[in-house]
Parts: sequence; C-alpha cells; structure tokens
Amino acid sequence: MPLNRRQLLGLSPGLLLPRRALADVNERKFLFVFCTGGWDQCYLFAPLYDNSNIDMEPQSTVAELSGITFVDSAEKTNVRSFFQRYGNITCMINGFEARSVAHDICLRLISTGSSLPAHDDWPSIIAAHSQADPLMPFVNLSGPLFTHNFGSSVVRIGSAGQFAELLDGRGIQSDFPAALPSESVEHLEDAWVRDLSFQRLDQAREGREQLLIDAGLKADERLMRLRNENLSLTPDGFNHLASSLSLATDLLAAGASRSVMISYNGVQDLGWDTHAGSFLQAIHFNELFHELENTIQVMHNRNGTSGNPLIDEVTVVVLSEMGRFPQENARGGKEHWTYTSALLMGSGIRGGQTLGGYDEYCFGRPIDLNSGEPYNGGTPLLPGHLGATLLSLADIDYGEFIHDASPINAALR
Amino acid sequence: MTPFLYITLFSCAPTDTTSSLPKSFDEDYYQESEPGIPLEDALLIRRISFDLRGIPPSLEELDRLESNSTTIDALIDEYFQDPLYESQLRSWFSEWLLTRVDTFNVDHRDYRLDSDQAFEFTRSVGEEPIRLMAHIAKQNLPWTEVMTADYSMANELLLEIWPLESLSDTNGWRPARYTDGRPAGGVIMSNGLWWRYYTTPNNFGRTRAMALTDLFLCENYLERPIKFSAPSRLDRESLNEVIRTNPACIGCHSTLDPIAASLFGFWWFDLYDTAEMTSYHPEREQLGRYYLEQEPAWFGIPIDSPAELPQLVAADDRFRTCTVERMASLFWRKQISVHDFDHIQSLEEAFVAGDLRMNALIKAIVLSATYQTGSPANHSENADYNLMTRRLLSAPQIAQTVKVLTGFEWSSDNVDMLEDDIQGYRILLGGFDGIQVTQTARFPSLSRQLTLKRFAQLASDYVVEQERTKPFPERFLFQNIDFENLSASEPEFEETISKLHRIFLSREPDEQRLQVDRQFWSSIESQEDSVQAWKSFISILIRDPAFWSY
Repeated sequence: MPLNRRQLLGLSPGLLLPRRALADVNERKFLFVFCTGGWDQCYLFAPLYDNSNIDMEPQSTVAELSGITFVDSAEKTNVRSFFQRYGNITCMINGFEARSVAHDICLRLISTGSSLPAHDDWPSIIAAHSQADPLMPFVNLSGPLFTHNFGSSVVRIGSAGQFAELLDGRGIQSDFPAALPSESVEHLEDAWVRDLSFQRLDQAREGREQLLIDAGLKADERLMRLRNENLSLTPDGFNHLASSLSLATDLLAAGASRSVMISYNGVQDLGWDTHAGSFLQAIHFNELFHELENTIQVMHNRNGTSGNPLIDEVTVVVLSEMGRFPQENARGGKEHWTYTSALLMGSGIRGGQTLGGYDEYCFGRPIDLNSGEPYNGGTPLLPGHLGATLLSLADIDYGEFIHDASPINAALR
Repeated sequence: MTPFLYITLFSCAPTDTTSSLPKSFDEDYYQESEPGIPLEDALLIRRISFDLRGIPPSLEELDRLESNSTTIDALIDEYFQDPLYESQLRSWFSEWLLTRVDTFNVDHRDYRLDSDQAFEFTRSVGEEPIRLMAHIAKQNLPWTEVMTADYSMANELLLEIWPLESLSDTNGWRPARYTDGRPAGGVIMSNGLWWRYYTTPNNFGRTRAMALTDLFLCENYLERPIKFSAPSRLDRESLNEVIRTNPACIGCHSTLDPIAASLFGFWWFDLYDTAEMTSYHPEREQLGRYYLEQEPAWFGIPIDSPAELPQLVAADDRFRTCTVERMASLFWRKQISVHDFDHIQSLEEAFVAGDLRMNALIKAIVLSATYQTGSPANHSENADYNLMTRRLLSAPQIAQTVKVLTGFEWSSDNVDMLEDDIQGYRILLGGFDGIQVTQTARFPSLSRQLTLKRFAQLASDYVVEQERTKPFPERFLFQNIDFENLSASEPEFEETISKLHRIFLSREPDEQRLQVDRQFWSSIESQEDSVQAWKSFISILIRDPAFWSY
C-alpha cells in the first residue's frame, strides 16, 4: 500500500535537518557556559608577571595544579579548589582571537566563526545533528543564539524563565483582560491544530512550504510531549548560575537536550565588562568556579542516559566572547581585547593540560594543533578552531560548516 | 606603569596565516538551481500586504482583486499610502540597524525617569534612527536624506532628555533637530545609532566606522582576509606606525581609520556617563588627527569637517547598491550572494529610475520573480528547500495582525511583551534583540509555537469577549453571530467560518477543512459552550500554518 505524505513524514523526521540514524542515547552532549561581557585573561589564563606591558591581578601568583597553569590568588580560592579537584578533566585553551573588540560582533564570531548572519552557532548545529531526537535539542536558557538553518532545534527559555511561564500558563501577565482556555479545551485546540496542519502538509507544495509546516508540526508535537514531562524549566532567581546549571544538568541527564546554553553575567549580574573595577573579575571567577565544581561533582555522581556518569556523556564548554586589554585604565578597569581563552572539560576531553598561551603583549600565540604547544610557526587560534573541535566531539563533519580551521586535536581524548 | 592606549578593529596578531577567514558564503548553498513558480494572486497580495503593512489583505481588497477591479500593482500603490506602511518599514529597518536592543549603557534612572518609563526609554532611543529612515521612506523622499537630513525624529521622552527641539507641533514622533552643534547628517548624526554602536575610549571610533560601512555600504571589514606579522609593541604610537606601514594592516586601516577620525564628535571619554552620551562634542572633532594620526577622509577623499562625511556617504555608489541589497535581503528573506548580481542590478536600475525613492525600490522588489516565488519550478524528489517559496511571519507582523484583527495587544505594565526580552517574549516568538539574536527566525521552534499559541489564546478570548458586548453593526469579526444560539448546522455558521478564514488566511476553506472545523467547534461547544468554541476557532486560525507562513 502506498504511503501518503503524512505517513512518509512520520518516518522521516525533518527535511532540511541532517539525516538521523537510529536513536543514539550514547551521543555526546554539551553544556555551554557563556561569560558574556569579556573576561580578563590576566585574572586566570595569562600568568604574565614581571612585564611592564601587563597589569596582572593584584597579589596573585602563577600556579599549576593537575596540569593547569593559571593565575592564583586568595580572592579566588574556588578556582584553586576546582583545578585541584577537576584539573585532570579540564583542558585550558589560550589565545583564541575573536578578531573584533565589539561585544555583539565578538559574540557572533566566537559562536559561529563568522560575522555573517547566514551561520548557525555551535550548539544549534550540534543539537540539530542529534541522533537521539531529544525533546528539546538545544535549550538556550540565556545567552547568545545565532541560528539560520537550525532554528527549529532551539528552545529559548528566557532569562526570566518566560518559556516555563508560557508552558504552565499560570502567571501570564497582560494589561488587556484576557484568559486562557481550560486544559481540556486546550487539548482539543491542540488536536485541532494538529489535524489541520496535517491537512496543510498534504496540500503543501514541495520545498520550503512543506519544510515549515513539518517543522511546526514537530514543534507542536514536542510541546505536547513536554507538557507531560515533569521537567522544571525555571531557573531560580536567587542564585541564577547555580539554578541554571542545575536545570541544565537535569535536562542533559534526562536526555531531554543535547546542547544547553547558559549565560553567566557575574556575581549579582554585575557583568564581566569591567571598564571600571577590574577586581570584580576575581569575584566573578570565584563564583563561577564554585558553581562549576558543584556541577561537575553532580555530573560525576549522577548517571546519564547511557547509565554511565553524566560527566562521561557531557562536554562542558566555558567561554567568553573577548578578553580584556592587558593594562588598566584610569578607572581601575580594562577595555576590550580581541584575544580570549576557553575551558573544555568532561567527555571526550584530554584533561590536565594547558594549550596555547599569550606572548609578552598578551597576544595569543600560534600553536601546534596536535600537541597544543605554542610556537611561532604554528596555527593562530580562531573561533573556527574552537568550533571544529566541538563539532568533531559531536561526531559532525566540521568541514561542512567551517572552512578556515580544523580541530585542536591536542584537546581531544 | 605608563598607561597606554590600544587601538584596534582587529588586533595585529603575530601570524603568517595565508587565509584566516571563513568563506563569506557557501556558493553551492546559495546557488538557486531554477527559478520558482510565482504565487497565485490571492497569496501574492497576502505576502505583499504583510511585507508592506504587517497585516493580511482586507476582504474588500481580496474581492476587488478577484473581480479584476484592481491589480496587484494598484494595490501596492494603495499600501504605500496606508498608515501601517510606516510601521512595517520600521520593522524592516530595525532588522537592518539592530538598534531595538533591551539595554544601553545608561538607563532611565540616569535621566531620573520613573521606573514605568524604563521600556519607553530604551525603545525610544533605539527607535530614533529607525523612525528617521521610516519617515524618509514613507514620505518618499530621496533616500540620500537618510544621510543628509538636517533633522532627526523624536518623541516627548527624547525631547525631554536630549538636546532636541521639535520641528512640529504634533504629538508623538515628529521631526526634531539637535541643538548641540552636531552637523546635519541624518541617521549617522543620531544618538540612537551610536548608543547602539558605541566605541570604547581606546578604540577611537573604529567600531563605529566599521558599523557605518557595514550598515550603509555593505562593506564588512571583518570578512576581509588578514595577513600580517606581529607588531613589535602595544602602545598607541607603535600600533599607529604598524597600521600605517604594514601592507596587511593598511588594507583595512587606511580607509577605516580616516573614517573613524571623522567621528570624534561622538567619542566618549566615559562609556557610562549620561552627559558624555547625551550630547555631541564639537570640540573633540579634531582629536582623531591626534589619536589616530590620520587625516579624516572617506575612502581617500579628504574630509575637512565632519559635516562632509554624511554627504560623502550619500554620494558613494556603494550606499545606493547597499540599500538595494539590504532591502532585497529583507524582502527576499535570504542572504544576497554573487548569484543575485543580475537581480540586484536590475533593482538598482529601478531605484535610480525612481530618483532613489524607497517606494520605487520596494515596488521593484515585490514585483521581482525572486520575491514572488511560490513553489519550485520542477517537482522532484530533491526539492530546493532554500528557495524561499514561503517565509515565517515575523514577531511584529504577527503582533500587528492580531492587533488589527482582534484589538488585542500583549502588554504588561507599560511593556510591549512582544518587543522586549527582559520580561517579554520577543525572542521566544522568533524576534531578535539586536545583540544576542540578530535576525528574525526562519523556522518554527518549540518556543515560537508555544508563544504563538498563548498569544492566540489570549487574543481570541479578548476579541470574542469584546464583540459579545457590542451591537452587531459595531462588530468586526462576528457581525451576525448570536454567540449563544448559533449551531454548527446552520448556514450562518459556515458563512462565518468561511469569512473568518478569508480574514485571517486570505482563502476560503475547502470542504475537508470545513469538516474539521465543524467537528472540533462542536466538540468544544459540547464540552464548554459556543462562546468558547468561537474563541478556540479564532485561536486555531492564528496557529494555522497558513496564517503564520506566507
């Protein structure tokens, strides 16, 4: 018996989306922690002491723990504690050049490798290529989101938990008097939409019309599934980072998502963009690493969908779109700097090592991609190298998306 | 340590890489295999109406078109006169300029405004350059006025906080002129643009120069290859020396820095200081020569005074071409590539023939084959999914349509919930905030479908409750409906259903669809009542793919 279009589409999830094989519960997942605003590499990544060009974190020293070389200070005891405990699963990569000093441009560059809009960011690409068809392939709790072709994989939660508010329906605010229907009516409405959408799909012409209706149907279907799941999707406002990480961990452990993005704006949302008061950087790093340590601990103790500890399934990516100029301005702050670093930890990462570095002017040093050693004839690190590394970890042909860079093999296990 | 100043658009990294840039586009991806088949008239006018007014065509317009008493061409001209045209233009220009951001470096408190003015403050600042562009387009003035106008646009709030004088006695947004000594220069002399595209004190306006060329010349310096050796030092003088002498640096900085040097009237010593940001600083105009060690110039043409800059931009052929590319990209909903060269060229010819008036350009775009494509030319197993046969309605288009058809606006405590992301749902509905999300969604996502669903439910509840209380002649959607007593078997039921389909979807339902509607309507009526059934029906129309794709 010939299949009609509805049956065909039921068998073939997505038209433009990458082809999926059988569901793979063991595929690697990703947690992105984005320190928006530009962190100061001289407070963690670049121990450039005794150098008149560089204003280092006051009263700090260079330290090495578990293969990680970093800027250590009494203001950041949680950083020390983290590397002591989890340096062995952490790879610090120094010297990426974002190639701009404007926040919005750097956000796009570090997230997609391009300044053009026709590119998807790394978490969207990774999520769209999931073999496991998770309920919410990419959950963007907050932070940058650049999509072009893979936007249908993304669930934007909103920094105030707006998605959960809408999902639940209670607490929706409106100045105009309006109410939502009862739950039973809502179910009927959903069924109505589903039926008419299938009708539309049957009548749709090939190409984009089909594609959009198909994506809408899938989103609606996921929405219905989501309402039956007992997933919390609202970060707690009191400690936003901790609750966001906890929520992200829940989603990844449940296999509900392949990529989760969290934006961290520093202690009490004071921001990393410290044009004044560089000392805030130490406070931000201290809180960041405290919460990272808690999260990694949870990931060690909690099993993922494969039955193994979550940390073996999840790669944690911590990054910032730019660094800070090596010298302080008159207000005790620092301006923008095009070079930055990234931390990779967990699944697939060869931990206990520091790759790349900064020269005496705090320029990123070129590296040997296989050894991670900096040397003058090496490869200057660009956002594309980070992207290629992450896509490679996700078993995606990075060459399809990145033309100017290859993975940093030294970071890969 | 002696403070030093660092200047960069790109840093001069120690690299000998031969090509460090991503390809600007994937040629294979963008290659259109075959031209598509155009939409039929009813769907085409629906697309045009959404793109020119943010709403679907009216029943009366559809009737006229069907009866051949008007033409697509004539309707386009009517739409140019519609008050909603300017509103839709603002939506387009906001995606062009990306100035409708949620936060600026200072907020309402810095101007001692009340907390309930927070949203109005932010939106007013971002709207300034958008409003000016929309005003010039709507008035069908020469597009060069975007650069040369000796006025900007302001509302009461901006008139209160910025050095502006109103040029009109009307209320709301109106032409206004700065009184702080800044030269005439349209959008590039507006606070709103440079608050969004600010430059750090030690970047000396380079970020702004790049934004200027990117936005208005489509010259993106960041997409140029970078090949250079390491600078020897970091201080300003050394870097200026490298930039002047290193051939690889010269490639960009020889043109970028002289533009930056002409923007020093907007240069702030402090990024977060209200006084710095509020006013132009004529006394700083000459500082570019000192800090950048460059004479102000526009791609080799010397600039004696910043007042010349806008004139030079307007006279640059690339400004004209870029306008065409930007508008075509917005209306075609695709990135422009080399494969579009011929199309762009013909649009530019139409723009020039129309004396550089925006209406001429827009008309040429909506009459272009690329815009009108409704389906692929050939049916095949491998349909070209990149051919833009359908687009998603944008968040503003959805909001505008729902407002016009139901009267419902989703606001809460003076915040437009579909134009805000701090507490609202703009990005969730597929919109953009101009920083973290920079283009309207191209595919429905879970969060978009959920937001659309809730919006539809609220709006339908609102409109039915409103219409119930009105006498029949004052109603819009349910003119002859007795909400309590009409059953699905009566002829008026089918008439109403059909009419609502035409209002929201610009098409009649077929028998199959009528059956589905009747069945679900009756289920809800029996479970609750007919009032709820009508609410649900309106809600379903807004969630119909035939509504949200066009």
